[in-house]
Amino acid sequence: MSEAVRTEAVVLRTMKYGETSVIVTLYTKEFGKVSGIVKGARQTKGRFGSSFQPMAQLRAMIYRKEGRDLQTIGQCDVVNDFRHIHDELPKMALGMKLIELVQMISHEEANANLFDLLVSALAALDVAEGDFTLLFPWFVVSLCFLLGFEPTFHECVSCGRKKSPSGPPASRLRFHLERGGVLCDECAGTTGPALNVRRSIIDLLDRIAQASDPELILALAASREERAEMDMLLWAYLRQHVAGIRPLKSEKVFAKILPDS
Amino acid sequence: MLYTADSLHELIEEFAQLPGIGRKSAQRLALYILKLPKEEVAAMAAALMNVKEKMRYCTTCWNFTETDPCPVCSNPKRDANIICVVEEPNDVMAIEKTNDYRGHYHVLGGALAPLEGIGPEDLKVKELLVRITPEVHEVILALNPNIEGEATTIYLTRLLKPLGVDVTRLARGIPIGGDLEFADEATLSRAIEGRVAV
Repeated sequence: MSEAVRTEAVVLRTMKYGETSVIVTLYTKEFGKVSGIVKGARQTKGRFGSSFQPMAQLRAMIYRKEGRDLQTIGQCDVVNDFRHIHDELPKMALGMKLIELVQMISHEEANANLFDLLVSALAALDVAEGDFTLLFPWFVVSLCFLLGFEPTFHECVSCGRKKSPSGPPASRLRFHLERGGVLCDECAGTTGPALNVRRSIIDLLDRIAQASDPELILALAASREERAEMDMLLWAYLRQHVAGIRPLKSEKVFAKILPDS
Repeated sequence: MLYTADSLHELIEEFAQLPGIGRKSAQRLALYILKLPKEEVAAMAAALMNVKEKMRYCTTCWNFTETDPCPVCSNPKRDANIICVVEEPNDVMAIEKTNDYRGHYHVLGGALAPLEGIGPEDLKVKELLVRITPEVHEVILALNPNIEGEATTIYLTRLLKPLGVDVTRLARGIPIGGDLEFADEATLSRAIEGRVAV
């Protein structure tokens, strides 16, 4: 039995189909990840306009049938096309990282909080001026919270004591990937997968984790080396807790296009 | 279990490989071929082989051609100092139909598509940069108005501007015959941004 439903969605991916149509993958608020065919989407004078660009936030009419892999997508209204993300390559790079990650980890089940998180990250990126690169670690930490394995950066994940008293930023703390947090000096010998991470990175991630609003992240800054180390930790953490995590295609391409970022 | 003869089944399989052709369309095409006179089928088969044997890429502009350089690149009446960059050979055909453009082309073979893993090494970017001699005064970026086209436009602009050439792009806006009322917000915004004096 087919039903017509209206839901908010973010476009994750589009693929040409036939002469004028597209197959689009959406992350929807009501139904999670949905793939559908949009007939006539690529016609110049078509009714869809720029609706199906990756990252666009839409209100979509979906004709859903249980058990069908490819639904039919009808009329869509653009809620926000986040067009400023399309104006600069660094913003495009980060925006594509976000949607590619959501595509990788999401399923056909609703997670309205994940949808809201994605939209708020894209909205912050759209209007950001200056350094916006920490939006990605903020997104990943918030995502981990939504998926039920929030990492702990301010106290020992083993014994609950405050993490080791402050030391030089370059000194290292042990981060236990399985338990999901830093270890104090006494618990540092705990067996299991773990990484040694600079204290400055842990402190920065702690501040990021406490920011409820992505706009607060825009006031923070990190060097290229700090961002690389943060990314390494967060990806290792995601791989530990989420099946199917693989390197992002878009990140590999942008590394060639933006070698200085 | 096969309800059709092997040869017909094989033909249907071949047609079904073509883009946009599903099983039903493939079957319809195969049955149409069956009804054609033998000479017409032979002509079709010869045309298919001919295009594969004769067509190649022009090593200047990377468009399809039977001769290298292609008729556009070797035409002395065309302006070799303007290069119009497009994604695919179809785009060259579309622009040529206007009869308005008299410069040369460069076919990239696609656009940057980071979400699909397509990067600059998969496109004819180096080959474009090699063509930018001091005589070339303008490069027109005629890429599709989507995120891949945008990414490619920004990337190529960054590479081309230091070479001292004027870099331009196609205007964006309401198509002829379109209605403002039905234009989407992004198109209308771009049209307003790109307004010109009358």
